[in-house]
Amino acid sequence: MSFIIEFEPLGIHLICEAPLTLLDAARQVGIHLRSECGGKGTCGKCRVRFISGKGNQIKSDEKILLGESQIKGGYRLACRTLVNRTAQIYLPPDSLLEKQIFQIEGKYAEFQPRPAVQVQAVELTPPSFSDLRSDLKRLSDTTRQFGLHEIQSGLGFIQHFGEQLRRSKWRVNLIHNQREWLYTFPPGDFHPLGLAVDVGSTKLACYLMNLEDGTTLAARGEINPQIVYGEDIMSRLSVILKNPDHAKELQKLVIHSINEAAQSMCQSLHRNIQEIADVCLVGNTAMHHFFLGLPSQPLAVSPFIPATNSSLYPRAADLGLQVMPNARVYCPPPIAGFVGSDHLAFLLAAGFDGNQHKRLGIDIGTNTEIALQHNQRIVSVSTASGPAFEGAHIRYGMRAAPGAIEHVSIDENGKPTCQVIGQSTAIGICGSGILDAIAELHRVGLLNSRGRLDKNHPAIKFDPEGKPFYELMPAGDSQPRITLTQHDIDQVLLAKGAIRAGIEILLDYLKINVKQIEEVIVAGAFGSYMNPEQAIQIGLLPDISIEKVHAVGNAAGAGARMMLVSTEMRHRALALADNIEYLELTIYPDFPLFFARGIQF
Amino acid sequence: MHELYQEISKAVLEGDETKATQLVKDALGAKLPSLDILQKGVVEGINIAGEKWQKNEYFLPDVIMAAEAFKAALRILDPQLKREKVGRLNKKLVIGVVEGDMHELGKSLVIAMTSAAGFDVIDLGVNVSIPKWVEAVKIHQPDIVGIGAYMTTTMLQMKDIIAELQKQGLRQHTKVIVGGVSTTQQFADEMGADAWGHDAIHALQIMMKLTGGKNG
Repeated sequence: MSFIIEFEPLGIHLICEAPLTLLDAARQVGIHLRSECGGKGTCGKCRVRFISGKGNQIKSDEKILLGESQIKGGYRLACRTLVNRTAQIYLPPDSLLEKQIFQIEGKYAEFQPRPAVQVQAVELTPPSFSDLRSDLKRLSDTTRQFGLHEIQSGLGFIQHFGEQLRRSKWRVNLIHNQREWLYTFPPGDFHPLGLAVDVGSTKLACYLMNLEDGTTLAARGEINPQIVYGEDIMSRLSVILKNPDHAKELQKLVIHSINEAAQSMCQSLHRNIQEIADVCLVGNTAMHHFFLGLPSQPLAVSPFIPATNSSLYPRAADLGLQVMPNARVYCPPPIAGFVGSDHLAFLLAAGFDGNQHKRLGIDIGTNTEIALQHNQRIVSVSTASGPAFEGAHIRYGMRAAPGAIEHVSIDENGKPTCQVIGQSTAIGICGSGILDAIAELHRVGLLNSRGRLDKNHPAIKFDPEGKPFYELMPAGDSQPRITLTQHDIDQVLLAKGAIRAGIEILLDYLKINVKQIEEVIVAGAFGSYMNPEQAIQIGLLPDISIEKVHAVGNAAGAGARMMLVSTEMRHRALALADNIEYLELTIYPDFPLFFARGIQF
Repeated sequence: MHELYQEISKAVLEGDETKATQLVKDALGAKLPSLDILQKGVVEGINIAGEKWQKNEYFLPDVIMAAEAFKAALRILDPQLKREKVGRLNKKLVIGVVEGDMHELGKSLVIAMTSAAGFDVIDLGVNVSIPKWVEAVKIHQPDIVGIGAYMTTTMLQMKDIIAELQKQGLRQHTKVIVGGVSTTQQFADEMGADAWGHDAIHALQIMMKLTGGKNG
């Protein structure tokens, strides 16, 4: 019985035939885990965590090295863990020799921070027999002098602030969000923190910011832990359909991860997580619903109706976030069942609410959202492009990380040259590499216009079942042979077809000729690595001049940060959301033909 | 005259919808027998497309386009076939996509393949509710019911549809086959289906088997 071990966040998998240790499995796919003792189980450096599946029984020596809390968290030592069934393993950055990071950087235009949350330093007159005002009255009499007379006090605040007043001798920093008092801190310099979160199906991006000046202090990219309930949105939704209790579990998992990321970013800056006074969270509509505990069943079936399309500002503590007591989480509105607040954040960061160009915005992921702007109108679609461009479902596919082939060129004889991220030995190929390889195979005639490999060409080899493949890199001492199979190519062509069909239908719907497009903005990690020329060559993008194509990275994260630190941006996002029309692709006339033409070269 | 059949077949194979419909009109205008136009021209074309797909010389888009051309050609030919009462396989297939699912593509490929093979196909469309399935089976009394679902979330409905057909005593003379990208043989078994087709060609082969070979 064969089984599969998958290593995250790299997205590399190994098909195994016999039981083996996780350290051996990692070595076989070319991942270098720290192992100073050489796998004897004494250094404790090769810590990994099970996302799903399990290994052999843990023994006492391993228990001592790991400690109680790590064992509870699902950690094991890779060298001591024998696996004989399918498992998904998380590799923490500390356990890897090379630094592995998720690409979560995103670009946005300059803007002036105007945070909702503000700090007011006050000094109150202490009570006496001639002044018997209550704490709250005493406070509001003073704050009125600063023009803050309309700010409300919730029970949570009243329960806490009196004690702080007395402890710091009636001098405090009051934190408010212009609607209500949140918390009090001792007097002195205090600069409140903010947390922006972009929840993707695969990736969770968290940013810690200085709310006052809008600078990003730290950022963390994590695997979305909900992945144990399925790789894509539909499988997670179907888990909830089968058993509604799982919805709570999905909510708990993501909130736990956000807390962990926030905690670790704060620690690295010697700050306390309770200094986070405001949060802004964006995500696709299903992730948004899971996070807020909204009913998600209607999202599972056509016509995919979300529970709300308003912005929400619930209390963070009610959701289990460990930030400042009484702080709230700003959740911008989703647009439609498959176009979420992450899309809104992307369009905000890319400036779709400003001047009215004819432009196309594409956020490439497992679901790809595409928006076309023309005069006053913005129309958005969502297409299930699948994870092929993130390297998933590709034999040697992986995410863009050290060890990934990121660029490929092929000469006229069919000989490849590969460029690898960060190091000389390759362990897999990421989306941009796959894109290059397919474009190059087509250019030199190894791949015909139907997307079939030329079986008569000497550079095309065959596996034992007679299926054709192309070798990108021969096997070396510490690296596997890396190939691209016909099946791999098919997966990419289907993904490309789905995206291109979305673009063409938008152009058709708004009656725009592609030549009129002034700008194409591509978001997502894949977009930052992708070579626009090759994207046009394989027909992922229509034929436009490459100067018009701009990659903006994780633009949804950028938009979330803008909304976190600026109330003006929140207002602009709401106006933008009202202006976005959603178009359903599957029922568009002749959709199959758009899709078919999109797949072809 | 033989030439026209070949040209029709080629137009369908190449997915040229406009050409295929024009050629069928020409052939009807020339008073060629409609059954020959169908079998030697239109069906021949879609069959070759299917073979090429199976041999991996064709990919999905080629088959989609061939199926669209086939559909268009059949639309021209159908009234004539019905007028001449040309009996074909004498097997009926009721097909559709489950409620909450608007995906049309896989179903239209199955329709192309099965109607080319001579099935009488009754297409219920997409987003078909359980009462509609039951009603269609009662009215048409088909040899086969083909249920498609293309999302992990909607495919679970197959179980309820099949159970309802069972409850209403509609399964004695009707076999149920299921399909769609996320389905598997194991899934089909769990749903209580008689069979599973992993793509349009495979589905046709299975249906042939279920109905007892080519001529029933």
